[in-house]
Amino acid sequence: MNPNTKRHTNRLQFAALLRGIIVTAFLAIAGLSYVYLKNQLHVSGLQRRNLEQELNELISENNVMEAQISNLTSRTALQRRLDEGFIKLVPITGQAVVRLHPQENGRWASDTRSVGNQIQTISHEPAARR
Amino acid sequence: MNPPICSVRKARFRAGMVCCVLAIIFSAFSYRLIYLQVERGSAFTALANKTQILKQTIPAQRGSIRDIHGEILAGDMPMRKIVADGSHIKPALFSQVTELLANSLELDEKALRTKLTPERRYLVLKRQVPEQTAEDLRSELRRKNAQGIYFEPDSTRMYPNGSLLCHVVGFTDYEGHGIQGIEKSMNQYLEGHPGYKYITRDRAGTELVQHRGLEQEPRNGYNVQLTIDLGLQSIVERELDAAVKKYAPETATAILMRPKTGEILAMASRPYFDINERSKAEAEQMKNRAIIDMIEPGSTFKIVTLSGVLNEKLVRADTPVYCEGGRWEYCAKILHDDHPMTTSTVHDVLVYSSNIGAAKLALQLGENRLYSYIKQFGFGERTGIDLPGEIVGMVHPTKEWSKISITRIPMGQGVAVTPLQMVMAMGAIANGGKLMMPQIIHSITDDHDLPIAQFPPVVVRQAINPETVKALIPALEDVIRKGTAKHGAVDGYQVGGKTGTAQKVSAQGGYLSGKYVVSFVGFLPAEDPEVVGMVMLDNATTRQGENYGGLVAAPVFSSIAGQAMRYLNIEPTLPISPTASPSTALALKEEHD
Repeated sequence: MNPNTKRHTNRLQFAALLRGIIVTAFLAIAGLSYVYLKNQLHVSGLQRRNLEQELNELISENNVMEAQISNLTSRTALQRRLDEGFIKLVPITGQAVVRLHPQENGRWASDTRSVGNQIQTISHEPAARR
Repeated sequence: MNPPICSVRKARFRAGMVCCVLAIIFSAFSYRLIYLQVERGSAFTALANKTQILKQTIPAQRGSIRDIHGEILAGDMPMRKIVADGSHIKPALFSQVTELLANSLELDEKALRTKLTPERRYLVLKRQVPEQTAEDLRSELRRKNAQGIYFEPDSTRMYPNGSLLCHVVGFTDYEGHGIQGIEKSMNQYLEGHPGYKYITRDRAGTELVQHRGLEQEPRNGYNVQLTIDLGLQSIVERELDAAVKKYAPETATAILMRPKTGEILAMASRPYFDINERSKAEAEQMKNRAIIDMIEPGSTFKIVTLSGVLNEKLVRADTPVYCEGGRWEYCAKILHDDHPMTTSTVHDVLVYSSNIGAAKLALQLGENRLYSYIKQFGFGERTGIDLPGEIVGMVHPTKEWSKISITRIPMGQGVAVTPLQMVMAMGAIANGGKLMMPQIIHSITDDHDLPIAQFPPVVVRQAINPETVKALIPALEDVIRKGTAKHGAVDGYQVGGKTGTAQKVSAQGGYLSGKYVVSFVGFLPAEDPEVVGMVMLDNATTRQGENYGGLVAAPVFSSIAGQAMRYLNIEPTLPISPTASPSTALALKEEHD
């Protein structure tokens, strides 16, 4: 074989090829990552927007409910229901009010009940007819 | 074999030409790019921003108005503002969208089609749309896959108690600015600061959240808590309604106030209106007569003259006063008493409301000192209540007084006061002589209920000495016990007060025959007053000779005050009669009638 022929043969330069592949792969990964992250950002943005929308809707619903509760429990609404007979209330007359005045000498403190005092039990069963 | 030299040169030349052409082309592109990016960059950026970036306002919630116990009197109800971007509506869906909008929002479809063009980027279709309607519309639009319709936050003002306390609470206009009552006077606190955010939208109008720009949260309005107690307010309004039903007056007013602090506990006027239906209300119904009605007070004003003479130590409570047998001529004008007396005392001048006695005491006091005491009690100046439209009343300076003014002003003629001024003056007597500033705002809190401002009681001045008050209060108690206001008594409590029956002033001058403004202003328990109240009825319809403060206004006061004492859990200071109920006095009056 002519030595010149051997000289012109294109030999595979693995190191350069590897370097090229690595650079290309790096660039490809970087590019794809960029696109992926950009898409992720977009998806996250959409999720955020949807969550914000849901949250706002919930806040609005809550506010509407609060407003409705205020309306339904307002004094005027209750008075109307009272007038219509939906609520049964009996006015307390003046005689029915008993005012208790704790004595200054501490009657309750000194008159401690001994264990021997008779305890009256209260039954919640309906009383038998006599 | 090597190629000829000329071929190599040609090839090089061609390569050079290609390179040059490419360089020129790329230079041209580069120049264009630089031109677009640098020279026209800002213009194109602005154009892009105009179509893609939008400043979205985030509305602030208006603060609520509450009573002393936190019950909501006015608050915001969330609503939606429906807006459309014509450029985002697909032409194929246009007719379906307009039909849906017209049906859901009750709009005229033909007008909507005219307005909603692709050029209209922002068209408000309807404001204050209920959340439920908006939600239904949104679902329907999603189902049709229609775009270009947006739902912005909005709100409307709601007043859960309707007509209760309507004159005090007031209302807002369509834009949400307060135009009457507390809504107006506290507007700067109730109104919040809207926030904003810059959003970027894609071609379809969807927001690109990752490109969201500057964002500022809104600051919601502060909540205003009033000193008004809605429990007492409803008692006052119920009794006032009963009185209006019974006496059919042109107007009626009632006020309850805590004398030690000046806190207004209840304030009501008739006629009235439902705030939720304010568009149907007449102007007359919207007037808060407690602060904008100017009336001649009548005999309730005698407290000023008597305070003056007692405070100046010109007389004592038991000093005799000659009352001329109920008829007295002064400067060729006759003055009458309804309860004729010959010799009386200063004490009885007040108890039996002697005009002649009051006039003689005023003469003893003198014009300047009488005028000074009128001013000391706060007449002729605004009380300073945080409500819009308060008037000053009318107190002429002494140089404008006629010769008989000194005998007429003590019985409440020739001066004009507001019901609130009268209450504050009686409040000064009930508060050891200290005139308080009426207080209707208790506190201001933020939307987390943290306090922003509190309003402590304000003493305007010491109108009279406490010793004078001690001499005056027994007389005011006797007005109820044996004087002109027996129907003003409240079972279980010692009441002090004064009646007033003033002839109505004609717009043409002089007085209207047979028309009276009757009033009663009082306080209880007299030993340690917790509440001062006033009831005033203008031109009540009664039987002949019964249109007096003691017969018309005092029973209403009694009924209100009795229930108020029970409501406030104020212990009775006198034994309660076995058959007593809070409205005993009114019931007795009805029996008597």
